[in-house]
This record gives sequence, C-alpha cells and structure tokens, in this order.
Amino acid sequence: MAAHPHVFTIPLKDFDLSLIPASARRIGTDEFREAVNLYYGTLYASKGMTAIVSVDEERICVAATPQGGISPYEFALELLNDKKIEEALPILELLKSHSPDDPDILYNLGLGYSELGRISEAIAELEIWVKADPQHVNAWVGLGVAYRKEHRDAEAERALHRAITLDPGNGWAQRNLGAVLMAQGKAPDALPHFREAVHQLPDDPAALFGLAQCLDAVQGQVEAAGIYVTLIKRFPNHPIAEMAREASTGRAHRTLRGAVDGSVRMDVVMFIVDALEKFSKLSKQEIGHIALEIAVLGRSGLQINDPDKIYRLKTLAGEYTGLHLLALMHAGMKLVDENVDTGAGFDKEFDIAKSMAGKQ
Amino acid sequence: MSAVESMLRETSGSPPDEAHLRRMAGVIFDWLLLSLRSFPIAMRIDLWLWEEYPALRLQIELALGRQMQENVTAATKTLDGLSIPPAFRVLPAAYARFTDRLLGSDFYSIPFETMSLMAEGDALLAIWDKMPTSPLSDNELIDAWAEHLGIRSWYVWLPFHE
Repeated sequence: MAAHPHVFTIPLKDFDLSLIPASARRIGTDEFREAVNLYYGTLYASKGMTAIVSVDEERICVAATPQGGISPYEFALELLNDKKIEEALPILELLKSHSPDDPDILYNLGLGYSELGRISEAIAELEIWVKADPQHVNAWVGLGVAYRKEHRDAEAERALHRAITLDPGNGWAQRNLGAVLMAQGKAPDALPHFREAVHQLPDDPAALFGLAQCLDAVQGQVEAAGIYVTLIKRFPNHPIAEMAREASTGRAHRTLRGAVDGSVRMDVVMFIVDALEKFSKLSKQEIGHIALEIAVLGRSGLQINDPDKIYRLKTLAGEYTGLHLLALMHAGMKLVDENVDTGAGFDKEFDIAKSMAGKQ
Repeated sequence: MSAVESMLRETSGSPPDEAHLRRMAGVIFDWLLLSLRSFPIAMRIDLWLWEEYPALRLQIELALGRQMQENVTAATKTLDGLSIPPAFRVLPAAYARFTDRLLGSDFYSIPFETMSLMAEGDALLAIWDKMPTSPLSDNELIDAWAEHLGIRSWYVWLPFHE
C-alpha cells in the first residue's frame, strides 16, 4: 500500500450520479453533498482507508489515507516544501472545508496563495488567522508580506511592526519591515531593522543586500560598499550577487563623478595615457586578453575608490589600483572596438588621453 | 486539433473564450498523444520490472503511486471551465486499473470508476493484455489503443534515423 494519501478532484458534472440514492441527486443541495461524502467515506473505509471529502459548486475533492500512511496535511506540507504549491493547495482547501479555523491550515494556505500570486486570497486567509490567533508571529509576517505585494504599505508596516513587537528576534519580520520602510522612502527608519535582520540571519543574502541598499540611501556610507563585496564573494552564483555587482558599479560611478562634480577625472586621463603607452607595443589580441582579465576580475568587485588596494594581472606586469585597472580595461576595449560601451564612463577621459598621446 | 476544439465546446458548461479554448485544445492534444505513446509502453516496463526484479518492488510501488497521483491530477485538472474530455481520460483509467492489478491494491481506479470511465479503461487494458509482449510490438500496441479511441489518423509514424 502507498504511504501517501491518494488525492483527486473531479469536476462535479462528471460524477456518476447513479452511485448515490435517487433522492440525493440534485446537485448543490445538502442531501447531495452528504450522499457524496457518505459514498466515498464508505467506499474507502471498506478498503481500510480514511477519506476526507469536500463538495463545492464545481468539483468534488477527495483525500484518502491508507492505514499507517501520512496524513493529507503532512502530504500537503511535503508538497509545499518541494515547491509543488499548485498540488498542495487543493489538499489544504479540502482540509480547510473540514477545519475552517485551524491556524496551521490557514497559515499554509495563505502562504501558498501568496507564492502563486493569489494575493487577495492569501490576505483573506491570513486575516482570518491573525483574528483567530493574534499572538502568532508568522501569520503577521505572512500578512505583512502579502500586503506589501499588493502595495498596501501602511497595512504592511502595521502587520510587521506587530510581528516584531511579539518577537523582536524574528529576522524575517525585521527584514521585511526594513523593505517596506525603504519602499516608503524611510531609509533611516529602515536601517535598525535591516541591522537586526542581518544579526539574526547572517547567511541571508537578501538581508545583507537590503542593509547595503539602506546604507547607500542613508548618505552613501562606506559600509555599503563592503557589504556588496561580501555578497559577491560569499554568494557568487546567487541572483543577488549580480544585483550587488550592479549596485556596486553604480555606486562607484556616482562616487567617481561626484568627486569632481561630474567633470573630467585627470587621474583617469593619466592612467589611460599610461595604458595607451603600454598597449602601443601589443597586438589587438594581446590587448583583448588584458581587458578580459580585468573584466573577469571586476566580476568579483574592483575596489576603485580604495587607493591602498593593489592588484596584479597575469597578462600585464605591474601593480595597479582598482581605478587604474578600470582605466586600462576601458582603454584596451576601446582600442579593440572603438564603439564598445565598457560601462566605465571614461569616454571623455579616453578622448583627452588620446589627444595627449598624439593618437587622434 | 479541430476535433479536440469541438469536443471542448461540447463538454464545457458555458460558452468558453475562444482563444482560451484553442490554447487548451493544444495542451490537451499534446497530453493525449504523449499519454498514448507512453502509458501502454510504461505498463509493459512496469510489469517486466515487477516480474524480473522482485527486490525493487517497494520502489516500483512508490513510483507507481506517484505516477497514479500525477495521472489523475493531470486528467481532471480544470482551467477556466475547460478540462480533458472524458473520452480521453480512459487512458489514465486503464493505467490505474493495471496498477491496482499489479500491486494488489484496489483504490487507484476509484476516481475513474466514479466518473463512469472504467468500462472503457478495462477495454483498453484488455487490448493491452492480448498484445504480444515483445518491444517489436510497441507500435502495434499504440495503434491498437488509438484505433479504439478513434484517433489513429491523428498521427503518423516516422522512421528512425541512423
């Protein structure tokens, strides 16, 4: 015998009415629902199984559990953990029809709806739950996240504040509250929540990224840059690492331009002059290899605002700061293909360097 | 495909959105041909494994349990009022009866019994029982099921390439 429950849903119109007494065959009546319940309950009981049945306007749902098998609720949790949410939901809906106030069923149903983007249904279930059990932290967190998805930020903030009042050490509540506050432009208010989230969830890339973004918004602190680098190094294949690279590059560019009010950086000009000098003796292929090595190095995050951080290349002798490498890369890629957009934003500096080097 | 669209129009409760109906017809067509090609052959393999490798019977039972769950879920799924026409649900019905017979269980076919599909499911299984068991007869078996369902003209066999 299978250990899992056997779960199925059949369209109401396809049910064989001859299986129930003639007096109960009017679909939609209580007699019909009771007769269907009795039919399946008796049928499965004769096979040593327990059946839970629900009948609504469109379908009949049955979950039959063999003796010694796992319960439909445990099966639904397995499916949720395996991200088979669409398969889990009919089971939870069936269970809810029998136990409408069960907080665990409501909670998982709410989360399942939320995962599938059925936000208004998620909110409906979670609101029932927090009324039934106002002390349950996870329900408030789930509700806050669902409100956020519907852009009901004020309600999201209230729900998440309620969660952290009940449990200040709940990293998820802190992280989500930080995000809601950031979305409302309240970065200074968000900062302590992100810090607590990272303290509680030190291995959560989303918490770290949220903190870095918040620090960036709170007048661009150096700490944000360090967190971006940490994210890229610790979680190189995580989607958040790519976001961290983009944020780090954008931040560095803002710092670069901000340092001289958007005008030309003469240090970059001189670095590019140096690059043109070095590259004049090399083939395009060799230049390309150097530029590529720098680009690959840049994937881990070049510290272009730290003059004390020194790099070495395999393809080019010497020691270089991050900014120097970026200038080298820009010059190299432009020499290989003058129309390329390196993303470094050094076109003005490149043109000046070329004219200085007499290459125009 | 137009035959599937016609069946969907007949079996849907209220006039469906035409674009949705055409999409569903495509999905059902693909499911039908995939099931036709796979189920009878999978049943042969299940039986062969069961008989030749008794040490694997627990794993086979668990795998068949999951397969039956997937089959019934797919066969009865409804999207905006449209679902697989009952005439085609006899394919998983036949597989469910086969599984009950193989495992000595008696509940996998219940969903299909309560949809009045087992008479046709049993007919497909009877065809399967009569076929030679050699893999050389695979195509003949699939064709026999297709003939019974009235869909033999819906596909052609292409020769293997070296």
